[in-house]
Amino acid sequence: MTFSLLDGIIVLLYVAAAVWAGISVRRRVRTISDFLVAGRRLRYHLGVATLVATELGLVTMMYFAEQGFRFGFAAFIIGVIWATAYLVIAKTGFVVDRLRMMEIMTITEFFGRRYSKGVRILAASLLIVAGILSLGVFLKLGAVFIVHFLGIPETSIHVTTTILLIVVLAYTALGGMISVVLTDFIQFIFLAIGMVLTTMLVLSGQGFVGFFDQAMTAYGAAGFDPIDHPEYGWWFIAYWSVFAVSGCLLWQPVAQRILSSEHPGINRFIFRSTGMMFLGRAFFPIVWGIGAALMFGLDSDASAGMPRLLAEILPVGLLGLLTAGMFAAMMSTDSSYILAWSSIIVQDFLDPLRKHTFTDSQRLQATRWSIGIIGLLMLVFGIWYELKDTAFRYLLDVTTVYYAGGLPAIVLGLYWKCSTTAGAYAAFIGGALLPLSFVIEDILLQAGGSTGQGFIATLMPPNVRGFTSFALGFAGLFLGSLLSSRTSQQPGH
Amino acid sequence: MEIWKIIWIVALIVAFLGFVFISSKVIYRGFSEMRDLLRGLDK
Repeated sequence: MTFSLLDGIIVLLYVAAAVWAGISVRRRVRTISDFLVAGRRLRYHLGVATLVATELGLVTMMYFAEQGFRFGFAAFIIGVIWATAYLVIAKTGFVVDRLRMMEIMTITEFFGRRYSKGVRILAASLLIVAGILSLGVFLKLGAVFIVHFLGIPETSIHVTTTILLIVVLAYTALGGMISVVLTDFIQFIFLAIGMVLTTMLVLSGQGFVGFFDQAMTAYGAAGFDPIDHPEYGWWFIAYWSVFAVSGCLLWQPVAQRILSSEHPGINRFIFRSTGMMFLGRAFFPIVWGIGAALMFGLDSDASAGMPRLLAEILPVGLLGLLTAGMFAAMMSTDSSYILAWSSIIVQDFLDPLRKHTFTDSQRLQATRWSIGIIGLLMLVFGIWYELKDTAFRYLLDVTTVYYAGGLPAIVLGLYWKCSTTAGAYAAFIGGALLPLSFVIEDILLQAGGSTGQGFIATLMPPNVRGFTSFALGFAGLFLGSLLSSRTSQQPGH
Repeated sequence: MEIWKIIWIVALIVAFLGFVFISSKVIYRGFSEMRDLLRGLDK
């Protein structure tokens, strides 16, 4: 199906409405709290809309579809574990209730209050590294989608993504969190309708059960069984479980919504509803990926499969609606992430390093500058860097840099009185050791023109490496805390 | 394995219905919450 005039009008109307809405709230931003946490006025349903829209990016759909394309229904395990993590936190209020009551703006601010300024700066540095490295592939995957979905020449792709990025940067820098919430809500509507209709269309080709039968023929039993599948198995389940809990508690774009809510009860509601929606967030694109593999063959390009399938099967009108939805997904995630990382750079990195703390207007100005710099880094890294494994695997690696030390530091910092600053340092350093060495080695190899695997990559399988990083983080916190508290109890200390 | 096929069929149905139900509720109620948020900021 080719892109018609009607489809084009739908997309243009959407982009214009989102930009207008985002920019028009600028005059309402008076304080840094308005800018970063929407004045802490986020309520139930809007909280769900903004969290889902943020975490349901074009990049999310691309990497889930790639997982579905390559590994079949076994990839559903990712969504099940992720949704379970959200539902458990919703039920128990684990960590999130206490965090919201502290009235902080970023998670790293907690590390400063609980441990020390140095821990806050270290945590912020690791979070910035993880955030910017992950943002780098967002544009790349967005570009792959646009090329294959709209069938535009690859030469104009960088121009298209740059224009979209500039639009996102403009409304994020002007309106902050209020713009993000408003545009997220509009984007949520497009995304929800587009995803449901598209999934129905993909499944209707062979009939619901027929689709599963066809997948069984193509992938075999391993394509359904996540325990037996070489890509997943118990190590993956263990690694992904701690990773998913970390994602709920530590990922700044998620945390920003927890901290923006009117009161802790709202967070539980947001997590419960989002948990349920996150099943669909993973399952639907995985189904699209499987559909693409069944249509084009398992040996075709996995990352291009989903956009090619959608371009093939969507009728006029729905093609425009989904394009708008995908642009929406890309813009909402990019804007939220850019805002999240810029707030970390200013609040938790630059401000603690200064002799005199920023005034409110300096802080606002510095955040806007950071937004511009992050956008530039995204563009450079996104164009230059080539993924060696799946996008999902890359994102796991770069995010573990921060999560592996962050999870023990936040959980034990809130629930274990004996955790100390030395323990927090040991947790962050120990946790980041393996994933950071892996990522740096990979970037250096690529800069040197090599396409082979580095030493860290061959040391142990990726799932074992990931889980070991969390184990090192927890061990670091326990040992560091026990040793430092014993030292401080000795006479003369 | 047949058991995994059945598990994923049921899971997909649950996910689909859950997604449709929650997203319609969020869209329906989100408009008034957005209005309240903007009014609150104007005060």
